[in-house]
Amino acid sequence: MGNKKNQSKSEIAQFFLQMAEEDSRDNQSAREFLASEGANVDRMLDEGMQKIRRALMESEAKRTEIEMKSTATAADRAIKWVDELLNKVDFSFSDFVKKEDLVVSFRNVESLSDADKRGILIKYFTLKFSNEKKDKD
Amino acid sequence: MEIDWQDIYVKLKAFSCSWAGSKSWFRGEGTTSFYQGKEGHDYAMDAILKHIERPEKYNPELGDLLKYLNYSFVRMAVGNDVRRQENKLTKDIFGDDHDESEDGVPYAERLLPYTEAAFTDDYDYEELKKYIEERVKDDSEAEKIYMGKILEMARDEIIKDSGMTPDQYNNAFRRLKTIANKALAYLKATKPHGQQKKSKQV
Repeated sequence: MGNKKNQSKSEIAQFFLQMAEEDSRDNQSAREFLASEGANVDRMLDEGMQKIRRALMESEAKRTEIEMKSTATAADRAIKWVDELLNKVDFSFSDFVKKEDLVVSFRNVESLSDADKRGILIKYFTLKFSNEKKDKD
Repeated sequence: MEIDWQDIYVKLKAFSCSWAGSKSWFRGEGTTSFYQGKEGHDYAMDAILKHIERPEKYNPELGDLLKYLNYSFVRMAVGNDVRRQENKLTKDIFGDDHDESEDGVPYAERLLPYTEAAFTDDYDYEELKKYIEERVKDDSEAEKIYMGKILEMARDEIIKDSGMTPDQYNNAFRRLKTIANKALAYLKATKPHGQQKKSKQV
């Protein structure tokens, strides 16, 4: 096509594009335009919103599933990590609490049982590994 | 910020109906049909569902969500048309490096190339312009809007420049739409579907 013809085509495309933007410029104009095209706007909106809500719910469910899987993986890793840590002869729970600035809601760390210490450490490392994964993603 | 999906949906649906409607004249009878049994505006919902599935593809720095969805709809409608073997009309503007060339370009600026691609080359658009220009000559308000739209002027700019009130503008816009629809009907009558040659691919 020659330059003039190209120019005319471009102008016509621009014109109809602008018309489409004008027809949809706000909620009222969009509704009026759709009604003028013979659409039952309320019914169309109901049907459309049902699809959108379903898609939003599915997307949310998928995201939750991914997060749960990720947390489960982090928890498995944390258990393994903590058991290895507790098996080290030089590991001291109170030193670890101080070093990691861990908030432990017991007055006396020394009064905690081995199971309590293990539980606290697993929670701490599960959270840490989950956050590391989120940062990477 | 929570998205008002009802507001977005009604606007996108109107945009897509209007956009697809302007391509019907060279697609023959049953005319708004694009391929795969869909109509142009069906892609409006596809664009929304695609966004819900992959929200990270939207970059707010390049425009608001509606502009992004308008772009996504137009790109999908044109893209699906181009990839079908039956396509004889829509130009293929999807080169290998096309996606990269769009990087950083605001969504609003991406709409025209796709819209142009959806108009077949095999027509003298000067004839269409002349048809519209002849008919707006006697309606100075509609003429001002027509010229403004070609120059990409916003509604508020045209209202300010022309001295029209918003109501006058709305009425003149309706008259211009009637003229544009008549122009499309005229083209449909004078150039029946099937006479066009396949557009060149770029």
